[in-house]
Amino acid sequence: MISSIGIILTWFGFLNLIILFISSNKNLFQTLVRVNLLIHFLLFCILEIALFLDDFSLYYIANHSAASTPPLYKFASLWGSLDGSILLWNLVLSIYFYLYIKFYRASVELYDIKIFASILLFFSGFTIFSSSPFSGCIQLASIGCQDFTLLPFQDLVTSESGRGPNPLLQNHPLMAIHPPILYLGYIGLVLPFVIATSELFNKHKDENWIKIAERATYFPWVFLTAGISLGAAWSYEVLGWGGYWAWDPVENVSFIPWLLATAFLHSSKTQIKEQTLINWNYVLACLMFLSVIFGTFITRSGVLISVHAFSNGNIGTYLLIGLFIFSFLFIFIGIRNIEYFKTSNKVENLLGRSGFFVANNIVLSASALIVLIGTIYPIFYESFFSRQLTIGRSFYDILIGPLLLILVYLMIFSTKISRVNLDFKTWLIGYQNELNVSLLISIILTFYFRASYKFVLTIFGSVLLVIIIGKNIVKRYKKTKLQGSYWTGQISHLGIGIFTIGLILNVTQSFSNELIISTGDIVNFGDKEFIILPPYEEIKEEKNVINLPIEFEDQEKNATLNIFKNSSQQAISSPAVFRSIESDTYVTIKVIDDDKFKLIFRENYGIFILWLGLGISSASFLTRMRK
Amino acid sequence: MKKNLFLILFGVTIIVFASIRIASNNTIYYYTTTEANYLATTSNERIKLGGFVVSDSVKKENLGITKFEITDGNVTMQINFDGFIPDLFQDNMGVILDGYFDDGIFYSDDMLVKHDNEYISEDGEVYNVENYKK
Repeated sequence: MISSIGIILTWFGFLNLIILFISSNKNLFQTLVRVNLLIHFLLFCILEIALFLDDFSLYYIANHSAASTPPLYKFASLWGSLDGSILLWNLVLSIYFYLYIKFYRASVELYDIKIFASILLFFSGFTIFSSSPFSGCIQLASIGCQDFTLLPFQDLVTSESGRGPNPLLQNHPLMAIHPPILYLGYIGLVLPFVIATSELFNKHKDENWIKIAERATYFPWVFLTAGISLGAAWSYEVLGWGGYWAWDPVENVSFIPWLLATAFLHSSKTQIKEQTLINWNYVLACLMFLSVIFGTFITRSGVLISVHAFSNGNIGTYLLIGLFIFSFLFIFIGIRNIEYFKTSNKVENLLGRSGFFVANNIVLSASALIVLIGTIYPIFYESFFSRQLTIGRSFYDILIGPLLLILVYLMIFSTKISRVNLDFKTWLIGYQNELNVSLLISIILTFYFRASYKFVLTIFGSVLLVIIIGKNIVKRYKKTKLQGSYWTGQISHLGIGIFTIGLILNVTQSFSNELIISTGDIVNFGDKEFIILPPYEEIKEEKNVINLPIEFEDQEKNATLNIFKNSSQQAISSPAVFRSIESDTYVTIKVIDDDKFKLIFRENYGIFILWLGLGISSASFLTRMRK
Repeated sequence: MKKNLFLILFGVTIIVFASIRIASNNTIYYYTTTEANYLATTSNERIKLGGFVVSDSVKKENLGITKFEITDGNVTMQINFDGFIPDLFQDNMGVILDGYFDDGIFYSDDMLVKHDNEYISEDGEVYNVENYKK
């Protein structure tokens, strides 16, 4: 029943989009966009209802949820696997479509509506022609469902119990928040694409398109920053490997659009204020969205080995076709506008705003290119030499590390940037005290940690950055109330400065040790003392949890081993984390052998500072609230 | 405009060239036991080794060290595993191990078994190591 309702409603949604695409009635589209949002919202609700009713006659629910799944993770199961995640994808696209016509629309022509509608048509087409989360089950497997139908009103079979979601996805509440936030960022980058292509397609283009595109990029950027940070936090809190970023392909493809969007937020400023870099801005505005589709292709088509990759049949080809269509649109419109691009002013002052932003853009797009190469290199290698490989972490450390450092040093000048060239001498004299203080701090820290030159360079730059911007904020807070895009930049930069301090502490200072212990032992790790208490087992409906309580000072925390019952019986070792501002002690169970445990103790420096920095960067949106 | 385009292409070329050079020096290869055979005595670089667990070869030693053999049907290798073993781990199962060779024995501390959303059929689906997915 639910299956049929869902499928028919999907068809209505598709029909509605087709009307939106072909209609040239300028009064009709507002209603149609609202109807579209309503339909996608209903689809979302219907699937949630089916998930909570444990309707195992749906292929998707039989295979990705179970009666024993706790409610929060049932709710999150909607986006736990491919078909459902496309439903969320389409809902987010529809939300942005609605927000677009409400807040960002400048054009009087209908090109933008048609481009947006075709993007949505493309993605909802997949749920109609290829695989839908509403497809009914027609053949059972030993557990779950084997085969499905895309048509409504068929004779469906109901499996007795579901397979349950991937155990990794039901281990921490962050899993329920991280994907929607990330989607809001990732998919939001459709806005600059639609704005740039539709405005430039129009002969009577509005010169303000760049301003609108910049505004429309900023909020997705905030969500993307927050979403990536939450994903990193989840990885740190749940996966028990002690890190937060693995340069996994899925992480990479969320990072590439982030880098491009960050570049665009800067380079668009040069066009707004000085009419420079018009062609480059058009390229960036489109590349952001194209990199989103490309990223989805990489991770959803099964061409890569990854923790996140959903393996599924034909979505790869489908997305590849989409990538070609939208790239063609981008190139076609670009070529039509060669004359317009020639009106772009030359960048004259290399030490002025345009110059700095060009440098920033070079570094950011070079980073994006490097991450892209690192991500696709294994695919190419495998197809040419038919041998599988992965790229080691050191690849990114060698290449991205120095680029991040350059960015930190560029940001130091961001408080004083203007149209004219920066005068270094006056700058040096003006910031003499700040320079001395950060030099002093870096010398002290260097001796304290007995650190290397990388550490010194990074810590000096980031401390200087934090001090200069901190002072700037304190000094001008009363007058400006920190409103406006200048302060968005300043606060983001402050966050990145703090983040870099945490990052370099973490990378250079952390250490770990493997210890074999029995219950009741006292463990000395670093200069801290831990007491290992007797373990106990919890038997839950969906998993068995072995808890090992560890006492440190007055805190007692559990290192746990979660063994999931109803799926692939994977075991996940979740850490006990003892936090402090300077460093975390992170304890995971490696092996249990009767009454003995092998534990890994890690001293992770700078983690709190790192999250704090990312939090501040995400909070930069507060500067844009009052307008 | 032409000069800029040239500069951009030049920059892109340098980045691509440098990245590929560095990437090729920082790779971890996946090997089947046959492919890794010649490495077993000559190299101790870190690799990923895939194969099927040989029946009745699994022996638990003290403190979590587990010894077993894996094979690709052609060459069989001795594994010394020190790490967390998933419950799913059993005879004849396909695994990918992360580790290095020392004296013909493969020392590993990280194991991947199939754990994605799809199910392992109870009637014994045939795995192909070449196409193995994490």
